[in-house]
Amino acid sequence: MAKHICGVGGEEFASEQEYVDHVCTRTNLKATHPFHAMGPDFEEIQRGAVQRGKDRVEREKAEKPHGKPNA
Amino acid sequence: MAATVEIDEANGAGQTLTHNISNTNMGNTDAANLDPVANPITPGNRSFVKYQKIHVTAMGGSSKIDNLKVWRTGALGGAATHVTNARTASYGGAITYATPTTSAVTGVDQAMPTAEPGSANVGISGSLSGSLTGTGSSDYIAHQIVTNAADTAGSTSTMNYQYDETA
Repeated sequence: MAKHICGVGGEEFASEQEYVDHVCTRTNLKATHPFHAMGPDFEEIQRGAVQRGKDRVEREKAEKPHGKPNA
Repeated sequence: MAATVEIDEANGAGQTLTHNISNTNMGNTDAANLDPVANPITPGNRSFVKYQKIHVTAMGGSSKIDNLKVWRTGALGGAATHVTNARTASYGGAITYATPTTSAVTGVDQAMPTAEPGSANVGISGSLSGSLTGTGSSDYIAHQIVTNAADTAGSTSTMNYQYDETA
């Protein structure tokens, strides 16, 4: 069975779920905590991703042709 | 809140997955976070191929992660090139993991972009238009350095892994 290793603390797990649920011995944070995963710049990274998503949704809305009712 | 995203790397015959890698150093061994000084690529050879993926461990209340892109910023040393399976068109589906070696890998033959691609070049569930609406991972990003016999070790550049998030 494939092993899962926490790249920060080095702990080993038999499953991905065990990795996701663990509290890292080095950061004292869960693997799902954004600081653990993305470091001190996590807010900037998240903000950028959300902004790109928002910009794309707005761009797609603007490009959508207006629907016309059937005659 | 927003999504939590990490980069994972698979190594070995057993596809051991190191989560949240701290670097993508390329070298003459199959290991995550490798020491490139201790494992220099033999000039004229390829590095061990890397299999990495973008992994969403928590959605943080967002509804979708998509538009995955990977590219390298910065020049390589000498006449080295950087190949990958990442591509913006004619994506052949998710690449199957194989124990990394220094040989060429079928499908890992595109030039790694050196600027942000205009559209997704990393697939999700085998498609460039795929998305994650819950926790999960992208398809594997496979990449490898191809060196020339006259190349010398020591070049540094930056790998970029980008995603869009819809709240």
